[in-house]
Amino acid sequence: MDVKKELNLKKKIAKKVREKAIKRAESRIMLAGKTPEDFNEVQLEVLVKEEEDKIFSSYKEKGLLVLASLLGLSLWS
Amino acid sequence: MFQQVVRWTFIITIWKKYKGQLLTTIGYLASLLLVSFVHQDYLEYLTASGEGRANVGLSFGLKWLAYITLTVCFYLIFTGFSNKTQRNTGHKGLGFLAKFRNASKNKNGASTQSAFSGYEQGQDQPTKTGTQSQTGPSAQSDDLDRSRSKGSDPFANIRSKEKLRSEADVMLDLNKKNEG
Repeated sequence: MDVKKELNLKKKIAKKVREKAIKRAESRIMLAGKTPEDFNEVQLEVLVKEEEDKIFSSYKEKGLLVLASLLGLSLWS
Repeated sequence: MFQQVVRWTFIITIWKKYKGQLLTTIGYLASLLLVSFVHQDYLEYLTASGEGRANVGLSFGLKWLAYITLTVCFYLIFTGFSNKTQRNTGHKGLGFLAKFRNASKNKNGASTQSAFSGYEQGQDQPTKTGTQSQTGPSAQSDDLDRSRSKGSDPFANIRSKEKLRSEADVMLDLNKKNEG
């Protein structure tokens, strides 16, 4: 049980994705010529959530292809 | 059996994501073939009936005109679908964020106004409604404590939240506050 708790992959992944999403949101804000301080927390939350969803959906898409290639599956034969 | 599952999952994923583009391309190719067959048949008819070559040049002109028209239509429809796909994956700019501020101002309930007021007035510490998360009232006070301790990082509260609210969730919250 302890090992499972310590590993806690789900939380670790979520944390990493959140950090990535925050970095992407920051870059988006910078590209728009503004600073994070120009936005209130609700706005930042929505922005980070959008980036987080994008990251998760890209992982899902890539995961399918990686799984197929790892298993050496030929899709059309 | 597993291979079948993976194959169908792959096909369905591609179909769902690029349905518009795939159908447009198939339609475009079918139209080109159709025009080509009609023109070929017309030429054969002219040869068989021996009606002369007066309209042959015109038929070639019409064929190429049809090709060009189809290509332009294909380009416009295809780019339309591509833009739609891009839009579905997120907003391009940050203009959409203004709607939350506007929503609180336009509907002008005192409760919704306060959802943003703590931040818009340049206060370091957000108001209670400004930091409301999905986890309930007990988590709100925790959020406040964390924001106090973490100082100036605007993402500090966002890092510590378990679940973030989407655009739709925030709008729903605003509507609920307006009604309430």
